[in-house]
Amino acid sequence: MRTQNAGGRIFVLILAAIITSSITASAARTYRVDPVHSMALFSAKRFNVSQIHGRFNAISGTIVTDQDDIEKSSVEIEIKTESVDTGNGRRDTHLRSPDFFNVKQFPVMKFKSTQVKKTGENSFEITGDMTIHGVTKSVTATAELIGSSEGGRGGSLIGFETTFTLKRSDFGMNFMTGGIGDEIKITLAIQGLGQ
Amino acid sequence: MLTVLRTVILGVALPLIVSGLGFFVALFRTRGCEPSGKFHWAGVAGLGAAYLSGHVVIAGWPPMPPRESTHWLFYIVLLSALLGVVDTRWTVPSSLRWSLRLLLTGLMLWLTLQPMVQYSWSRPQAAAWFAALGLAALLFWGLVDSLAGRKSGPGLTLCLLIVSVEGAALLGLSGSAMLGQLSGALAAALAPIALIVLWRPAYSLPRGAVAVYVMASSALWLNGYFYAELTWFNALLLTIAPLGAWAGHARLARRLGSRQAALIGPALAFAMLTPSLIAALVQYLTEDAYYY
Repeated sequence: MRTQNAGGRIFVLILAAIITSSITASAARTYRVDPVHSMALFSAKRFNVSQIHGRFNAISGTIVTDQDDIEKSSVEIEIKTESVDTGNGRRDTHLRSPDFFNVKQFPVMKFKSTQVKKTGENSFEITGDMTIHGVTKSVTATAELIGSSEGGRGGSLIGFETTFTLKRSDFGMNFMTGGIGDEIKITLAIQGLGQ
Repeated sequence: MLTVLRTVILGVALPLIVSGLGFFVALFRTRGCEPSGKFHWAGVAGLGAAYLSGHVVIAGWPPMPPRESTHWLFYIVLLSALLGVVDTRWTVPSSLRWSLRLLLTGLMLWLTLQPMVQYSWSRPQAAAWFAALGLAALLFWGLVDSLAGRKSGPGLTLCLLIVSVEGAALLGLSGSAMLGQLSGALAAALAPIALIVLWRPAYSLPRGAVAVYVMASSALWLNGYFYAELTWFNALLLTIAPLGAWAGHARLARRLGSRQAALIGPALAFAMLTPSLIAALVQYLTEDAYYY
């Protein structure tokens, strides 16, 4: 009888430990940016007449979400500048040149969050350090949680989207600001794969 | 479009005016020394200031600290202009002159190619590139300086002008309008001295001006090759074309009048570069339609 009681207590203790550790583990989740289902898009005015649209095809990074304490969440995105794509080979060559992105000297653009605040049910204000063209500036953007799923064919997934504007001259990209607009509109549509 | 045109026009007009002023002062100051054909150092200072003024119009004031190779280009030309002024104003011992050239060449290479060292090259590759380019740059400097010392009249100056103009076009066609415009500023800075030596063949390019040209052009061609799409062949042609001025000193050339002999070099430089320029232009026009 004593042995049965001791065995039962040990079983309860082990079960409690498993439950506690799983609760602690599920608070923070890490997602890797899925490059196939993520997009980095931009647009700029051309001679105040039309908009030029383009994208970057090489995007990577990590998203850490903490359901218990949202301020412990973080985002790190890295984009290879060489992957710029506006659908025109010569324009892309010009964008890669020292006139604009100067890809041989600044091969990546980075965003690293410093603060995440929840502003609505599915919206977040993310502040972070944006580094483009060797210049780092603080940028704040509102991101919307599109959705999340657990299990299934793709594994754990999470999706965010954000649109914000920045001035390329703030990042030392001053060439032809009269012809190609200084304000650049950026849209990041990110899908994260659970690690 | 107006802003683009304004940049291009100012980027040529301002260097032309500044250089013209500098060489006008130099000519005025050396009037009594005309037979010697030696320019006052104001000409070299004017040449350096002319390029720098064009650089600011085209690419803006470089930030402090400089972040990229075109920012460093500004300071490289500034240092080379200072060296050129010293070389023109005072008689510098040969050993000191060459030591300063070695230092400036090394600095130019490091500041221009540092991103390649950081992102693209292994240590052995970097060492090989720096050794080869350093040797080539110093050899080129010595040869052009020797030409300037021979007082070859308009030959050398016209060669440098032609190379800068065609270099501007080649750089623009290689995908970087900014590098093309900077080469255009260099050409505009050289234009007044080219006009003076055509008018008064007793004068020739001051030796101090060679420092400004060698450093500015080397950095521009290196930027074009490593960071834009300037081909190695065109970069090589742009480098060796000025040496065509040696043809004006060949025995056969001396049978012609001095003026005709002096024009052989520029004609050679033009003949070397123009086919490449035409080929680049044809390729540009037949590829994807694109315009600013």
